[in-house]
Amino acid sequence: MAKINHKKGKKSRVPIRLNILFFIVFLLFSVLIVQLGIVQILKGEEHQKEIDRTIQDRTKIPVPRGKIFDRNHNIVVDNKPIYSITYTPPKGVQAKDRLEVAKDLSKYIKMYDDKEDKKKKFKTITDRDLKEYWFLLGKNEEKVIKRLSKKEKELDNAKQYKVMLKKIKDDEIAQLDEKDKEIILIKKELDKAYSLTPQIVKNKGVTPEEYALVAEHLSELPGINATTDWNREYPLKDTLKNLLGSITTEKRGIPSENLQDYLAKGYSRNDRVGISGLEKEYEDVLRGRKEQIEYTTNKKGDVIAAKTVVEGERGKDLVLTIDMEYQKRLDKIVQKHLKNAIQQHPYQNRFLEDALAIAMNPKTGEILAMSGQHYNRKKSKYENHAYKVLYDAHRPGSVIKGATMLSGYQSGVTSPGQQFFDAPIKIAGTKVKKSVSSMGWVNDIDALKRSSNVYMFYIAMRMGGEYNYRPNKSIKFNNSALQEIRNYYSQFGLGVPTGVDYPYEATGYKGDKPKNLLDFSIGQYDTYTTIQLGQYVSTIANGGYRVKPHFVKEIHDPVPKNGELGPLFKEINPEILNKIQMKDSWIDRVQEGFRQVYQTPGGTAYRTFGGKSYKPAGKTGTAENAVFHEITGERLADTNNYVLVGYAPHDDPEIAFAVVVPNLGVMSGQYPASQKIGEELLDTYFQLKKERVQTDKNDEQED
Amino acid sequence: MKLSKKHSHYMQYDLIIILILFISISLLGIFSAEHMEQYAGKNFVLKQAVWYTIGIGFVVMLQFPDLDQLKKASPYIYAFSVILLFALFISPASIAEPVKGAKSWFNPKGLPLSIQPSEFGKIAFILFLAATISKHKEKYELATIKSDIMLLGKIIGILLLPIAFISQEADFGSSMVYVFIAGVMILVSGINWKIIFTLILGGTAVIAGTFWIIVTFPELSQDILGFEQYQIDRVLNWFDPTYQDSDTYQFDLSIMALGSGQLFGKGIGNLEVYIPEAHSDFIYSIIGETFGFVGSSLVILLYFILLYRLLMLGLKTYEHSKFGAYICFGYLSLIFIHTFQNIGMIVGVMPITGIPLLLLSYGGSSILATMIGFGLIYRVAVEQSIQDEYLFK
Repeated sequence: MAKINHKKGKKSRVPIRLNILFFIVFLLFSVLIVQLGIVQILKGEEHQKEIDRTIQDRTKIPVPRGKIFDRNHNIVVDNKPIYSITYTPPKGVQAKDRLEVAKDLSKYIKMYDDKEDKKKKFKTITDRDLKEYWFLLGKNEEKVIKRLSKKEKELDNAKQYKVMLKKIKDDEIAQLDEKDKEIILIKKELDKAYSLTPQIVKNKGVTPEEYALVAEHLSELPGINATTDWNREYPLKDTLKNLLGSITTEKRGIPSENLQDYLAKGYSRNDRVGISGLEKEYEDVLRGRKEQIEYTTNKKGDVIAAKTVVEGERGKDLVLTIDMEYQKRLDKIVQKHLKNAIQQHPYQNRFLEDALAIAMNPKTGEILAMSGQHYNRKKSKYENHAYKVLYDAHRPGSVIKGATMLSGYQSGVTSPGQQFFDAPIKIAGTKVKKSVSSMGWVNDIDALKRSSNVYMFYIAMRMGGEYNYRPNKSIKFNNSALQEIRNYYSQFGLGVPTGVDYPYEATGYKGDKPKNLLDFSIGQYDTYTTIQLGQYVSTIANGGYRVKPHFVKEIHDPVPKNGELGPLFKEINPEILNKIQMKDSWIDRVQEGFRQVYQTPGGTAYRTFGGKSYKPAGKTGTAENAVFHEITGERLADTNNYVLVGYAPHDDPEIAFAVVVPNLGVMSGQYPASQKIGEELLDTYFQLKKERVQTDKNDEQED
Repeated sequence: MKLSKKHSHYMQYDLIIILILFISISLLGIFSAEHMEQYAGKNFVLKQAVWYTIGIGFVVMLQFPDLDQLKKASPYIYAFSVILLFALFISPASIAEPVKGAKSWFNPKGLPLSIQPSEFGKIAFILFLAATISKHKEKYELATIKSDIMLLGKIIGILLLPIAFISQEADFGSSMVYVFIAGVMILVSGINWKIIFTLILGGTAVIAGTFWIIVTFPELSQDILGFEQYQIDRVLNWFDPTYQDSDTYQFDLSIMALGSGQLFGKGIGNLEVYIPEAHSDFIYSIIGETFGFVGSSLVILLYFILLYRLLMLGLKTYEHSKFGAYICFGYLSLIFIHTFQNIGMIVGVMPITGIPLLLLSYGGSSILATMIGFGLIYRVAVEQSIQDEYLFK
């Protein structure tokens, strides 16, 4: 009985357990369904939203930069279209995808010009390039993965990739042939691209055939585009080139030191920007507005919409105040006289290297021409260094006597007609100070005409409070006098920024020894740039208005037609920075003095300018300027800066100029470089004007 | 008359309908996945149909031997499967290349075919377990603690041999399936509760301890217990969904796809989420996105019906053929653990393991092995049908 019971108990054991088990199965399946309900019904919409979430990306398509014209609308900086092949990678593109593109593209373009170039370009392919390429081919990746040890397999992707590249054998990459290398050259360019940002694959020497082939096969080349890019072209070659400035290359992109500023302004990393000269100063105008396309991508990375958000517009064109014909002639003039001076007195002028000149309209501040010729002694070559007109400051000598005279009037220590006795001044314990010759009694106009130093010394001493100079006695003057005169000077632009539309200008050296007051008053102490002297003489020429010199006259909207100017966008009007405090009648006195310098016998520039029909006026200057050794500081030689400022015609000036030729040797019979340049500068200006009137007349007759 | 009657035993309509439904859902799911452009140029539907056709061939062939013959053959089948696993274990990478870290496939170069011995091994394992348990029960009609311990020893022995190799191949999912099947078989083999409780307690302690170590000392478990980083990551991720250091990419996509199916699904051809390899382990997510909650819960119901049918078949068969019954229980546990683990992983209640959803996931080895198992069940059902008629008479 018990036996049977036992057996029965045994038997029933299994079905009960099964039922319990199956109940658990039921419960667990219920859990699945409940959870399924949570995922699909409760959170279903959330998941759908996650899928629908799209990402907007903007792509900016570069536009050509604005062109630059001279005042007569001759092209100065042009854009030369160059065909280029670009690559805009879609989001989430893999190395393998890029390889495919590179392979296809290699059928249509070559990354080199000729056999020589091919060799050179192939040399740039590193072992790493080869390995990375080989790795992507066929089943090579799997092959290499097998070479990894267990440990190495656990490394993170980047490290593992490094190890895998190492495991590629040299004989494996040695199998790669020229065709592979051509593909690698292309792939390297593709690899540089940022997602959704166009990257130039090739823009040098793309042949029209290559361009056409790629353009035809665009549909097979995802992300590739055939476009035109632009290079800056300078039809006038070197003329003014370093003032015009330069722009970065595609490779360099925006300058890394100001990366954040540029990015904030909406630049892309590989944008070409002006980094010097006018290209930099007018970057915002010249850059134009990029076309912006907004791509909407979904979670999967598919582009589902493309919309032009901002229409692109080529950069605006600049019209310079510069007259390029005059500029070219001035360059020749300045170079010729620099050459003459060096060749005539090679030893005495062994430190002579530069000759600087600026010509501007004294009423508007328009810079008509600016020349800086430099003799490169190492290369025995003359070079264009026009920027030195803005960058290099020199002692101007007597040319600033006009400012000293007006300071005297203004401070009340002298007045029109005041006479001083010009005889060497001997102050106890110092060297004799004198004019070129002892002139006896001179009035203010004579003092300018003959360039009396002593007259200026009297003004300076009086401004310092010393009215009782007696030979061989010591003098006392107020230390503030120097700063007082300097303040007056600054009204003319001397020692302060001229405000020129250029990224940089020097303001010159300011001495810190008030004792040098007398030297200071005759331009033998502080230094000034040539453009400052130009602004100074313009201020005197136009009756006391300090005008801002500028290079750009007008900004024009772009038009599609080549070589034509679009509608005027903005005109740069003359800007008066300040009016000097001196009375008009005093300015008239100085103008008269300046006129006599040029036009009357005995004037220091009369020999050069006497009898010129264009009625010039101005002031000469010679500043002592010792040359010191750059490193040891040893005094090498005494030289003179030959300086000339002027304007013409004196009664209604249309041109003002400053010429500085620093470091001519001290000698009698020195080549009068500054006056020679000044003379030809004015002659050429009026000559050109006449020629132009003539041509216009002829044109009219022809019409 | 008799012949036609006998012939009708071979028409197990419920099993046939269930199988047809599974085949249809599988093909539809893969078809739906293939609408994604990433699948361009691939035809897994056709391949799956081919596997199923071959599988049906196996089912038919398995109707010829009777259960006793199968029982006698089972040790050899089991031995062969272990040899295969051993062969895989010692095979060089040229014919058994690890895939995603697991060396589970024979995939010789140049052959389009790859065989996963552990899938077939599961069926051999079930068959041999069923034979062993039923033989044991015939031998020891009166179970004692001693005989129960002997049975337990046999089952564990049969389990350890294959998983010794499988766990070495870093196929954590398959090992788990073997252990689970053995566990269920122990439970339903009638072994004394005391022994089972001891076993469960011990087993739970070991498993809980292991998880605790993994969660608390991830580095230690890697060094001392020999777990792979990805396994640890998965466990950690299961316990803490914010644990980032793992690749849940596929899972994130999958749950997004499944969830976005919402109540009624998007329909075939309207899928929006591309899940890599969706046609194999993540097929359920595709079904969920395509057919919504309605469709995906019906799939669970279908599995439940299959399991219920297996349970009933097993219980009925138990009376006259313990061997047949234990095949049913073994197969039941196999289907259950795959279903619960795979769907559980997709809905986010189980950790991520790479085990397929049997009968639906794409895969030659898995489909063929499952169909062989199905053939055995079918044979048992036919036998039961004959028995029923005999008893009735």
